[in-house]
Amino acid sequence: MIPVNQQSPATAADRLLDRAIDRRHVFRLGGLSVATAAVVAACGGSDSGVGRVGVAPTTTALPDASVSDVVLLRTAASIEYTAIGVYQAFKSSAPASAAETIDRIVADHTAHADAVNALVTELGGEPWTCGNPRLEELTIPAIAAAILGDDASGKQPSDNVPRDVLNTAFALETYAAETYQAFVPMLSEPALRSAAMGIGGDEARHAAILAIAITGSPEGYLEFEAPAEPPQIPVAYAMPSVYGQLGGQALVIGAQDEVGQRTTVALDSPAANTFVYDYLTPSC
Amino acid sequence: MLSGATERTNSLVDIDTPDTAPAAAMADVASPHGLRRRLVGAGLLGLAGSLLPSLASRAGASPDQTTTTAPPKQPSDADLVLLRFAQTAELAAQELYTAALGAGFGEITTAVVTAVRDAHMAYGQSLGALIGRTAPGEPLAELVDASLAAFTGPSAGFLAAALELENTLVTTHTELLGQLQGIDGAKLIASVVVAESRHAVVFADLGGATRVDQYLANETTALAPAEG
Repeated sequence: MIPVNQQSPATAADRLLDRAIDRRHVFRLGGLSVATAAVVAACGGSDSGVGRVGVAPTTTALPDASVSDVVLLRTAASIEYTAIGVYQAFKSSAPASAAETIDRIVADHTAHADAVNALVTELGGEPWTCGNPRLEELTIPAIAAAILGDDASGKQPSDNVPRDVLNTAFALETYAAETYQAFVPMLSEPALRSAAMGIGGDEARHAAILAIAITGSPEGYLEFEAPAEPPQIPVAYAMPSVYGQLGGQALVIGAQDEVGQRTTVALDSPAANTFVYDYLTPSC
Repeated sequence: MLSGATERTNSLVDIDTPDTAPAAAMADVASPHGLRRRLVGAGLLGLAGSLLPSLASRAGASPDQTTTTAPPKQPSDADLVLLRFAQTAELAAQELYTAALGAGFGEITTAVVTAVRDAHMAYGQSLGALIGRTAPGEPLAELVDASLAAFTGPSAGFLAAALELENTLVTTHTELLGQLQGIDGAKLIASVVVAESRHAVVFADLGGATRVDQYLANETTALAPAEG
């Protein structure tokens, strides 16, 4: 074996040649690639999408979906209209003792929707006079199916419709209060935040009144003593926490299934998929 | 060409280089090893080149790009004045409920008043944390003086005064929201408005409200910071 430091001159020259040629090749091919990439980039459109090579079908651009004050306020109006629709649909199934409360709450929601839409108009937007599209497509049908039953899915009607109607109302009022609270840091103007919380405070009162109607007085004020085990249906309290919460809630309603479970509907404060964007038009 | 130069025919590109390598070297150049090395090198450079346009656009260099102005997070100097006032109002509520508890209530009312007193203390502490070193940390004397008699008097008068106090704080904080620029302060105040609205309903119920409008009515006037 020949020691490394005593390799033949020919072998060392081979390596040198190999490196030299490689470098040139690399520069030449690399330069060609850069030039090609530059040409491709220059020929591309002005949009900043990901470049593609070859023939591809054209795509339809999504509409502009920026979240503005108008979008937030239209979303708030849509939730007011959804609440009104739910009360109108279920009022006859609520306990008779809650009729006066429900009438007043519906009147408040109507006034809130008008007030919010007035702000939308003031800001140059199109008022929204329908329910929230996402809630009415997914959430409200799930609630209705759990309370009234659904032949298609084999869901039985609730074993206690008045209880579920009031719990739904409580959840919707809490959801509405959460919505306005959640929108405060998203609204650009202090005046809009103040207007939002003027309404949000009313929604919180609605929730507290319904909690007392559902759980009783004084049991519904606050959790005086923590239960050993959490109940299957969450207890409604007028003062459920020290601060206004934004964590959403689980509405538990409907008849028990074969394993003793009821339907749980998640009501989280509105996110991007619940907003009523500028490009949407009312269709109710 | 120098002696010993050999024309290479197996490479991808023919480079006219004075080649001093012996013929044995050619096999190495055209070998899979050498070819791979060249391909990798060319590929890397090509990749870098193709990334240039997107990197350049991402690097910003776009002084003319439209920007939006987000509301400030931290309280402004003007916000701090308002938040200090809000803290004094909350600490006044805490003091008033503490005084009321000394008068002695039934079990339910005591539990409610204790919870509400603790809530106001928490609001005062949260506001203090937001304000920092300049937080007053003391109650609004005018509010304590104006309400102390009702809070330490008979139960019916206390419940009416407590309802009025909660409603007044809701109105006050809602007004403050219309002036606060920083969203940290606005978020905190908004969460307090929700909670105090609920407190008001409970005091209305404890006070014997029977009609829904008694729970919802709020005709109070907002407290305002003293001039200067």
